[in-house]
Amino acid sequence: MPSPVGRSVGMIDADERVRGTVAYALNAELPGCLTGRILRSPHPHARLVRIDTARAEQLPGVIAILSRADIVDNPALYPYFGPVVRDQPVVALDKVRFVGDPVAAVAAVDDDTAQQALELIEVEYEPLPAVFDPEEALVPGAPILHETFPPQRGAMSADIVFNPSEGSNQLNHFKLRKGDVEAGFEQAHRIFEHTFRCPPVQHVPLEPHVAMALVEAGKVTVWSGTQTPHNIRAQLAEIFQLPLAQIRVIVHTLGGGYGSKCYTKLEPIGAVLAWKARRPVKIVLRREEDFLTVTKHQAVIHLRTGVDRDGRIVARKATNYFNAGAYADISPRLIKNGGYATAGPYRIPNVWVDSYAVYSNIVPAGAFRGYGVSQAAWAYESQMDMIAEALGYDPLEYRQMNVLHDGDTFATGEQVHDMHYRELLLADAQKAIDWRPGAEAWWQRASADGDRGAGSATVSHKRRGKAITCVIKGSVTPSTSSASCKLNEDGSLNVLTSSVEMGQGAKTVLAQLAAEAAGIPLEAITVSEPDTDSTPYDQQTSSSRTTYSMGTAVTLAVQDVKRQLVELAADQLEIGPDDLTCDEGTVRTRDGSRSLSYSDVVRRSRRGNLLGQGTFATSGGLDPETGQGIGSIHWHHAAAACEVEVDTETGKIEILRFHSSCFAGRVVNPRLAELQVEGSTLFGLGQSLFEEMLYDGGQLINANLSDYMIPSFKDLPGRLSVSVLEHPSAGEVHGIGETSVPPVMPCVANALYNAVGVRITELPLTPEKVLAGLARRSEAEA
Amino acid sequence: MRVFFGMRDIDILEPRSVEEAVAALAQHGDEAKVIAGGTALVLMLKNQLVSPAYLISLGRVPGLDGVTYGAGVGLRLGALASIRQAETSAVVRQHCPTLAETFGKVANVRVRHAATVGGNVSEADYASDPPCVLVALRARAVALSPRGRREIPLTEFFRDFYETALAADELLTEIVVPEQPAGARQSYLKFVTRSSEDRPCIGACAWIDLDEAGVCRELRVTLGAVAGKPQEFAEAEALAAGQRLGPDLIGQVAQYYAEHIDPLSDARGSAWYRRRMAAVFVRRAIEQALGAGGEV
Ligand SMILES: Cc1cc2nc3c(=O)[nH]c(=O)nc-3n(C[C@H](O)[C@H](O)[C@H](O)COP(=O)(O)OP(=O)(O)OC[C@H]3O[C@@H](n4cnc5c(N)ncnc54)[C@H](O)[C@@H]3O)c2cc1C
Repeated sequence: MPSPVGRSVGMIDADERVRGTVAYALNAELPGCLTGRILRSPHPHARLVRIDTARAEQLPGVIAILSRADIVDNPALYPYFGPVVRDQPVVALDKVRFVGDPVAAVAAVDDDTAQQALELIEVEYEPLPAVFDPEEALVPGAPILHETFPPQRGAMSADIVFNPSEGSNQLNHFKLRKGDVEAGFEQAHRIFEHTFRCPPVQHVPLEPHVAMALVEAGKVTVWSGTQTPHNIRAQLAEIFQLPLAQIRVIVHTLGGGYGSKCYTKLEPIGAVLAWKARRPVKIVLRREEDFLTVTKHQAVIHLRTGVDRDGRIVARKATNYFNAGAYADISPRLIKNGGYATAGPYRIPNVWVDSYAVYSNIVPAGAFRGYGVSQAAWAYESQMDMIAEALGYDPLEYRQMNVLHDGDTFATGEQVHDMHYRELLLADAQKAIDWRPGAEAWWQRASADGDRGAGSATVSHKRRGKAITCVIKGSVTPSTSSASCKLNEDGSLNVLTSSVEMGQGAKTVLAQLAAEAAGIPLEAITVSEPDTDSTPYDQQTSSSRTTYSMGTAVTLAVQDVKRQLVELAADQLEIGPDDLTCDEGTVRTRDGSRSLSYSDVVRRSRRGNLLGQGTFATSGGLDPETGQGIGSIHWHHAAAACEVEVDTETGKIEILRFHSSCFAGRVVNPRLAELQVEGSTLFGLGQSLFEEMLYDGGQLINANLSDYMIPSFKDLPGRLSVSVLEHPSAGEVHGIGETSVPPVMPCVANALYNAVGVRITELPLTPEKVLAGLARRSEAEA
Repeated sequence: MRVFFGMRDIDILEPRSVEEAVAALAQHGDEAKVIAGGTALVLMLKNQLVSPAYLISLGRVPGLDGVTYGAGVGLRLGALASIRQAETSAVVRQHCPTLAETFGKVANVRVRHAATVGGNVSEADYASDPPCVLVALRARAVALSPRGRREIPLTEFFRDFYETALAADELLTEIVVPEQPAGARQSYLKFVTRSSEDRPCIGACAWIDLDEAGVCRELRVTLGAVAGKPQEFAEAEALAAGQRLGPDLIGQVAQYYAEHIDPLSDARGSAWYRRRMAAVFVRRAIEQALGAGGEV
């Protein structure tokens, strides 16, 4: 039977999507369900002096109000959560740490009543000095957000090294030490030092955060729009001090995630409120509250790079400050990925990275498509072009000269395989925009035709420029995915998985892989939604890992069933199992003389169904002192190429064409893969040009979609193209969900530079910054 | 109908005629707000920027959504006509294509279907597109109250940020765009600095009346989104009267605007930036109106 793998089959839930019948958690209902609303802190940092809920409780229709009074000294509840360090209280206990920090929650018969009740809660705060910038937060004497950590429960993920500096705002410190960086700088012919900054931005999934909870008969059930059902289960088990088996997390298809729905967000407050109300409670965040829940990390990256006489990079030292905001969330891990990534996809013998997660009084930062690598790539890919210019190299050739080859060692000291930068990614990118080596960089154009950009400019005040960038990105390692499946007696197959469908096509791709492994048509397969009572463990739907990790687990589960099928059929046909094959829903003797359909085998076995189980666990990890080891089970790589046109009178950048190349190893569904890469590109373009969360004294001032802009379809590049590249040597699937975000921002910045000679080191690349840069340049020239 | 919204109970009144609407407005005055498409007002209610006890919905008032042309009168845009209707209206396209295009530059097509012409003008947001074009076209707002009907030139209608000449008991019923002289041509440039669906960082309208010889009889230039209301400088416009609009003169006018506006700063651009953009877009708008290219 022809395998459905490698074919652009339509999404298996396409029909529901088009008809609008997808059962999002947003639309989930329970009889007697109350509406939950959250009261939030108006202060960036304050001591909670007094909270009085008496008046609010008297409002008719208010069923329960949750405040610290319910959880302090309550032996039934452990009041903290957080995927690494439990530092975030269900509701504020002694202080509030950012504008938006939950202080209390109301469960009421309807939204209006809940909202009115919020206004009746009296809170007295004693404002404390606050700090918002990660570098300022580390200065001695800065206001401290977490004086101590609460007593910890439970475990943290195996890959995380936790190095806090208690009594300071340093939440974690990732160290990477490869070679001898000082010796590297000593031997360097030239050394380049620059600082790059990027602001916090928001994920803006169409569906906001949602949680509905029911606490009944000693069991906690939560319906959540989450990317990490098993982590939610573990955290709720800690909070309620119940066995994992007593916590049930049910996940429906998400209306977008992009990392914002990783780890506990609304679930603790929702579940504890439901516990207090003794009724089901549902909380749906307003858009402005979504902005107060999680963001991408604001970052400052100081990059020092030494090169030898031939332009080869011999040493790099990076000091990265990631602004974690008020709570740890996943920052302790993210700074690792954003740390080793600062070496870029280049052969650098001596690398030293200090990557810090720093607490400050802004919205907590967490997972965001690109996961720390975007911040790192913004720095190193901008700097690559700056170095190339200083040394007189073509930017593309300079990358080709330094880029990793198969078998090289990466910054983590591990050998890397399946590296296809030179012959695949960079070549593809070059072709897509007709990059002519020696003629595209700003300084090359100056010497070539005297009038920079004239060749392709249409109108005199417009200048065009091109650029090519490339990045490397890891996937969380070690990690575990487990799947099971049921082969039913009609030959159909249920795949039970905790992978979350969030529009990326997880269900479709897993069905394709299951169909291939089982030798049955796609239509005979149903892929479950996560329900921790019945679907097996999966670490997370993130880190671009589902197709690879869960896909492998599903394949193993199906193979487990096939093994049983063959054994049963062997008995039924009285023949050795080695003489049987499975395909097209049929077990056949190798000579083809006899056969039984899967359905016959299951029926005859009288088992009702056959159960298969598969677990895929990767191993690896980095040394806590040196960051050396196995950083990623395999390395994801991508390149980007673009051409922009800059209006020199307004500073506005127009993206004429954009091409993203992403290496996928083996492609399961070409169209879905392309869509992931297209989506990543648009994500990156918004961040390149205008996305930015704006704060005024710790107050987020653009927490809505008129003041915070995301790209619309009208912002698409004139031409957008993507390549999802395969290589015969790579039998394996590589994740592609995020890899094409990080190269976008530096690609636009470098193209801008090549167009008009203006270097911007702080995102986004607003017209105003460009114009200011042009003004500075003409002043300098005058 | 009573709803709870923006932290208070609101009575929604649904008058069935203009007279009923005006009466309701007179009765509740300061306590009431008119609601048309609701695209602006609902956001204001949600953010508790306004908190009326009554909403007077125009949804069931007939006769306010026409878009017509009358010789000698000009274009009449009913207050309840949707922006999309004004954008696509054959008579607007024929008699004032720049105005139709301007309506087409508002927000996105979803908002344009819900938002009304009257709502856009009454909201008087500093970063709207149609107001500065309507000012340049010397349009008039027709207002109705128990005291009667009056016409307010749009040059006097916009007072400041979200402030108009409408009294609390006045209903805007239509916008009249007078017949334009045969030699008149216009352009409107909307410049956005963020997403293409954003409101303008700056909007520039040029209105030029040329005689047969190509000499400028009258120049009008209005700038939107740089201050509390559309900005127009008669002294600069006067420089052009009786002149040919060459690059130097255009540059002088543009420079005058750039120097004389008192630009605001917001997330779309600082005062520094807006001042520079004023110079660029005044020039480009004039060039575009002259048909000299000047694309944005
Ligand atoms: C996402 C978004 C993007 C936008 N982008 C743009 C843009 O790019 N350019 C632009 O110009 N505008 C833009 N707008 C603003 C939009 O044009 C206005 O919201 C809309 O025109 C208001 O019309 P409405 O019928 O919805 O008014 P409503 O919201 O119903 O009312 C607005 C105000 O006018 C008053 N009012 C309404 N009708 C009357 C009347 N007949 N008499 C007296 N008072 C009245 C109301 O009391 C209220 O104060 C945008 C709006 C949104 C939501």
